[in-house]
Amino acid sequence: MAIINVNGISKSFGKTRAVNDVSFEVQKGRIFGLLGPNGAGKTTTIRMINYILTPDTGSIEINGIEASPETQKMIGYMPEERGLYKKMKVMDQLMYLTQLKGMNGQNAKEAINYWLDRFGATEWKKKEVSELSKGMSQKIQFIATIAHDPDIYIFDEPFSGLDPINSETLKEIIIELRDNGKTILFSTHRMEQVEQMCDDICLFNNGKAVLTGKLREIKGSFGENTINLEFDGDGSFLDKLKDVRINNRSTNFAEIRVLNDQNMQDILKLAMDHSEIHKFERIQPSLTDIFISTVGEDNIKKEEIK
Amino acid sequence: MSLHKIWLVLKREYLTRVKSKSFIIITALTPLAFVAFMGIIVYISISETEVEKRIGILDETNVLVERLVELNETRYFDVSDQSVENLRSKVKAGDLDGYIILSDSVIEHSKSPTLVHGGSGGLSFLSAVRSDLREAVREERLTRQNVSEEIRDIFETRTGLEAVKLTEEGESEDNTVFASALGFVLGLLIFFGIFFYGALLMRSVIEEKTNRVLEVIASSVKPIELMFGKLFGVLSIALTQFGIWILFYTGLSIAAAPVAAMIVDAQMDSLPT
Repeated sequence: MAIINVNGISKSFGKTRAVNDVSFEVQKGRIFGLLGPNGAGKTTTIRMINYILTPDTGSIEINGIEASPETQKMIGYMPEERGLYKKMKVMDQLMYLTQLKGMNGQNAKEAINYWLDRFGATEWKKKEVSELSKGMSQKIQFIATIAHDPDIYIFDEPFSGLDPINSETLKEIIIELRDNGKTILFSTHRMEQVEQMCDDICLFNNGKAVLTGKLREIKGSFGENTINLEFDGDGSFLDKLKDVRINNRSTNFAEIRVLNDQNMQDILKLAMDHSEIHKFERIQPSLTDIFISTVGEDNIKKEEIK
Repeated sequence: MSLHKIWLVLKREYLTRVKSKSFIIITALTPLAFVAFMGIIVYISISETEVEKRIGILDETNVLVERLVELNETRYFDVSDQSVENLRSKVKAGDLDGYIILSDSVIEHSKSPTLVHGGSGGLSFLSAVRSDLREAVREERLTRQNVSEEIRDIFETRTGLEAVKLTEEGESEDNTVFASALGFVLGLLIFFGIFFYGALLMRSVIEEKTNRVLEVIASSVKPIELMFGKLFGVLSIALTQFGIWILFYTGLSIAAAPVAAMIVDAQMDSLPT
């Protein structure tokens, strides 16, 4: 069952079309990734789902209800540009933000205490946010997002500005939330996180959703068109290859994306003529590769997917 | 619009502001500043009358200067024996505030004489000098025409006007001056109120923008709810502040009343019976 249903939405700012006829569905209990280069329309789409902006055309349904103040309560939203009131005490601040989401005072207090305890932040309660370190205030921000126990969590670039430890904690919490039956939608341009976490993705480019679906199916649909090659010796033969794109090249390793259905055996033969082959493996393309090939100049797959 | 959300926004706005140091300082200092402001106005109006300007009169008619000195001994001086250059240097040095050369044509042809002065006279000073001159010239002309005392009295006549207010209860003292003063004070309060509390509202919006908390808030509250919450929050702050001032003022008045009564009593006792 689709918990978020985005149906043909468009949004223009002046003459710029930020989002152009985008549709996708987010299934309950899954992690959904919005990917795309900067300026592709991810944040605008997220803001429309949060009812901060309204689409010019098209509709957004959350749990079967048109986006409205009612649906805002079902969503916990952490924007990319995070901020809290600097002069307010942590507890007052969390109470305020949680109650604005429609929770009553008593429940809000219990939930906040639970999460503060969970993050080891109970002793910060009486502190002002300006006294906290950046990492601490990010935790408080996160609590403000999740304390009202919504069904849907939306994070815009959640990993930007996090150190590896906090990044890892956040990843664990996101997966834990998913395991508790919550739905998570987040935007990012860090592919390795998407590959590790997301069940479904939607790839944005120039305001359009160019690729939507289950991550595994999308990867599968590209076929095993990539070669992992490990070799010893002169690597200059790689430059002679035609109709390929080489990702991740180093002195004795190359990830070769084969284009135009070229016979991979020819590449192997050429490689054997020039160097000693340690490993030759046909694999599915990495998400980075899919991202670049879909967004970049060579859009060979685009027509098929549509 | 959700009243509950407006209430939450209002409450936060109100509590954070009222607890802030700036609110306490402003609440405490504004009455003092107001008193100081009034004090300055009173001081200026008093000190202006105390400091008398010194005007030298170079009289070619030999009759006007006497009348002027008679009108105001501290303001006018007979300097007919001095040269114009000498007077100019005195004005520059500040020994004199100004000088006037009076020729016969001032009396004969109503020619306007010129006051040469070191500036900063003020309008009231100029009009005072003008009316003194008028009176002196008029007197002199009446004398030259041998006008009788009766007619002179007619010129001396100054008819005043007493105002009385007619109400249901009957006639009462007219308090137009008090009413206009009150109007002025209230107008001043409204003027500063709009400035000050408008700026407060603006600052609160700017704060949310710079803290970047706005997007989080916008994902829970409609902009109109946020705005109304802030507006009524600032209104409550203003009412609280004015409430404190009014309480402070009435408290002070009540406390001062027995003290004033004691002083009056003491004075009554010392009166000869």
